[in-house]
Amino acid sequence: MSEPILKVENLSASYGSIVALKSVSMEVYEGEIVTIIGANGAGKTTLLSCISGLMPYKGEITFHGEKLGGKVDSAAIVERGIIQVPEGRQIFSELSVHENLKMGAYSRKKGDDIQKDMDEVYALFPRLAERRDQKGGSLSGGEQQMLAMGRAMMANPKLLLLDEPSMGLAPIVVADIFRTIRRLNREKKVTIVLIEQNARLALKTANRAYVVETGLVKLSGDAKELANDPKVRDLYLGG
Amino acid sequence: MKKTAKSTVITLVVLIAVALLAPVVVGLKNNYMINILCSYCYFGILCCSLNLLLGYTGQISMGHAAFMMIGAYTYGILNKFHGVHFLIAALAALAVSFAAGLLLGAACCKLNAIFLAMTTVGFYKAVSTVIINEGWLTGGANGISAIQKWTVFGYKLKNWQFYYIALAVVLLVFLFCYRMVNSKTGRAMRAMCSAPIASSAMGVNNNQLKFLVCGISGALAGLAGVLYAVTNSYLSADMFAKVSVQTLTMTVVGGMGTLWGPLFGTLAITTLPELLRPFADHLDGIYGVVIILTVIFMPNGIYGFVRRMVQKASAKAKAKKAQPANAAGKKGE
Repeated sequence: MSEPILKVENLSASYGSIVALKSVSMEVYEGEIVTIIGANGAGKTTLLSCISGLMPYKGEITFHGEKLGGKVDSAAIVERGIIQVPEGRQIFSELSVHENLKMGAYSRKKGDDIQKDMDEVYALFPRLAERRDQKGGSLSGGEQQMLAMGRAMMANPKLLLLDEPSMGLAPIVVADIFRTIRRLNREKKVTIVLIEQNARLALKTANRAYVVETGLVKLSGDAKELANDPKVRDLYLGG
Repeated sequence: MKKTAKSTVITLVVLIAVALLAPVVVGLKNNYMINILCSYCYFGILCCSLNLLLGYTGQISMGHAAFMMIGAYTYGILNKFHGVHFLIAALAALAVSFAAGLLLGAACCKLNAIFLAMTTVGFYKAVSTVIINEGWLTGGANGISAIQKWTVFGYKLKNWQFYYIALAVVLLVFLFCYRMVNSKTGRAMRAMCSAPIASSAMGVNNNQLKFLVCGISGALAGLAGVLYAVTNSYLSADMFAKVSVQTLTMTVVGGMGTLWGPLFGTLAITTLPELLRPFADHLDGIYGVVIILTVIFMPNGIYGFVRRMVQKASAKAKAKKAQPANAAGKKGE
């Protein structure tokens, strides 16, 4: 394989005196879906926050061969094309669906094919087109997740970070969301890092996986192989 | 660019027409009434300023009078004590209150909700204490008296002429807020207000945006202060004691987070003390009751209430129109 587009080396981070990440290293290659699975408090969300420039860390993160500063500066990270869909969706509830999508293109320059991408997002999520002028807060949970993903697509991501897209959603909606994730990866060629509690679904969707436990990477490898690993089956897939 | 609704244009035209005719109706020489009309203007600006902060960005300022005071005193000190031309003094007042707004910005970046509210109250107290105690600079407890009316090319403006200038300033401020709220920056403000983590994940620099809004809000409040100083031609620290609560009342009662709300609130709440002269000592209490009643019965303020009534009425009218048509249709069958 060629060079990875995202490389995380010996990353550690803490909230005050509480250490959330001890030492994590991982690689993401162009065009793949990588999933990070692990129990509550394993440090999954912290890892994404570090990559997105939302919190300070020690260690090194390189994207396309360039070192990311390690400073808390999410705007600079967004400009490089790393876009996060935060946990719990975080819809702008007072803004209309259309305005939410426009916010996604916040750091892009005027022109820049924003209209074309807007049309594509509406084509990808027809439900959003129907509810274009409705307030974001009035959508159902599934629709809000779609809006959050559509909003992220508006930023023209090279790397999409998804934090628990299945959280609080009905199984039938979750299936729909994951179909869309695969479509984004296949059709729009977006590289995806996926954090998920639903390990079975995550391993089915991803190409490769990392298993994180108390701030350390315990296992990593091909997603299908990990899904058959007896240890993983025992701990995360319920036997 | 969003298309302006027809009802918006009509409301605006009516309001402007009323505002233009008002001095003629009350009498051009009726200085008492003209001064009240001017007070609509500076309170209107003050409410627009607080609305940007509270309604669109979700940052609470309980001491907004501080910025008005800073603007008014900067203008008063320069114009009265140092003989600076009124235009330059006004610009300086804008600059100083903008800078003071940035201080508030620093507080907004670190604090939220109740802590920010307390800090802003403290800031107001601090500003007013400094003004009272530093007599060499501000005239101290005696205040600044006999601030000149504006003179343009040797012609001294009469009160009603100054009112028209103040009105023009309000319109400019309103237009400015309209443009700002509907711009990309305005969208980012509202986005940050409802989901700060997501807005920064979209590349909005939240802290920078807070500084910007606070600075602008401070400068606008300072501008209101300049008009205040010229209208009353007298300044003293205790004149501002009730202004913070009054501004908050206007913004909440009018309907925060909407462009029209503060204007309606200003009209309602500026008129109230004039009508309630006999109860002047209990005004703060009345404001309190008005805020409580508004929050319970009209959570979206006067503006939200009126809009809901209009929507209901038009829905009813539509239903009525549809009914006879249905009845006629049935007869035909």
